[in-house]
Amino acid sequence: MDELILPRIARGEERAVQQCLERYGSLVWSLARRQMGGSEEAEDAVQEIFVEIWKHAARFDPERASESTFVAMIARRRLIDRMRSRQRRPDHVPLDKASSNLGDDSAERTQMRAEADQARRAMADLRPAQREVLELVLHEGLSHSQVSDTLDMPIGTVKTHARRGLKALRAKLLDEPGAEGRARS
Amino acid sequence: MNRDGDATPTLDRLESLTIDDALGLLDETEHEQLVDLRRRTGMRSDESYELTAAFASLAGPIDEEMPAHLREKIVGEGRRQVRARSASPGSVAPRSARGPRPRRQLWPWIAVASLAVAVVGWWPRLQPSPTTVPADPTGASVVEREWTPTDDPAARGLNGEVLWDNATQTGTMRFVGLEPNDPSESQYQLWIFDATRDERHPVDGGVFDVAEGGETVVPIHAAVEVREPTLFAVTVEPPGGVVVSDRSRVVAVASVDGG
Repeated sequence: MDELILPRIARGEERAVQQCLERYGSLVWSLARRQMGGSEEAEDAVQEIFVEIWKHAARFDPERASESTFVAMIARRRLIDRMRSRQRRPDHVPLDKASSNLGDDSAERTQMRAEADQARRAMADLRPAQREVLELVLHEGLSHSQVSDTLDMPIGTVKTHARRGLKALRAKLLDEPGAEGRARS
Repeated sequence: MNRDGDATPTLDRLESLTIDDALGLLDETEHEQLVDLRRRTGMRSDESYELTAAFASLAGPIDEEMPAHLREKIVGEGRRQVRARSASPGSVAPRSARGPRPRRQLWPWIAVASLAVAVVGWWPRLQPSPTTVPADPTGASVVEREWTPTDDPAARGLNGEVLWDNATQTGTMRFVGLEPNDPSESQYQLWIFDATRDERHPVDGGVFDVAEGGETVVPIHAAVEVREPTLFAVTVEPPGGVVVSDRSRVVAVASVDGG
């Protein structure tokens, strides 16, 4: 199991900063590129995200979430705030899907590779329409209307699938009884 | 329609907006509606949907390498910020272990709280092994217990400890993850239940605030003598605290007997 980095940053270990970039740099950069598109804006966003990570490192609780998930949450939160204040999404620039597997030479990312696999399995358990919508929203950074155009689906239906899909994932992660959307149709 | 029936559409709307927010699908107007709904219902933000969305995002493409110049810039700035934060008082890391939570050394954060008498009196006794601190150390007048968070939204993610020395009538509380408060709207208040006193009137341990920044360390100032502490409890109260709490918002408890 990879050693946790955020507690070391919270304790003031400067060398943990470099390790944090090695482990999570690609994750944060990829998330930013999904939402921001162009490099320049993504660079600004990524710098802001890591400032938030340094600031909130002490809040990380390993019993609530993995370190990767916590970092991704901080990143998404910052990116969502930026997108909302812009009131407009950039033209969609899809990332290379072939790069979704982390490189084998990345020793720092063993835990994140395992979690990525877990996340893919959890997504695979959703109903197809829910999975499809969530993949476009979460992995491609599309808005409701962009998903609606892409899938030729009414916006109301897009919202319903997105909400039910996320609720189902959450229930699965929390291991609640009666989780919906588990079975494939 | 009964009260619950009136509340249901509002809570449904709140949940829908919360989920859409976690997915990044709210515009400014909808986000303002979410903030307003939270304020009206008293419901705090729910990180579970954000965490779920973050976890699911790991399944997408996450391997694009950051440009080298950007990485260097962030590392340089990060080292400066981390160095600056470690130099400020109270910037002590929370526990970070997986599985059972190990006890951690208490003396660094006691020193940060500037309890000079407590540090001098306690340090030899609390000088722990690297992984354990006795819950009831030699001397018997000192108790140290971990907080148990309640279901109150302010306590989501809360951990920390309360340390009390009955002999010196001094103590310290440490919190990580307790929701920051606006002192003009509410403050946290400590209550110390004493076996020798009516449980309806616990000892007032003082009011305190929690700011952004991770960890809060607070010295305890009991209003009257505490003879046999049985329970420590933290509530949310109006600014300045109250004489008698209605206990409508209890955020954390630490039982002396239960450990």
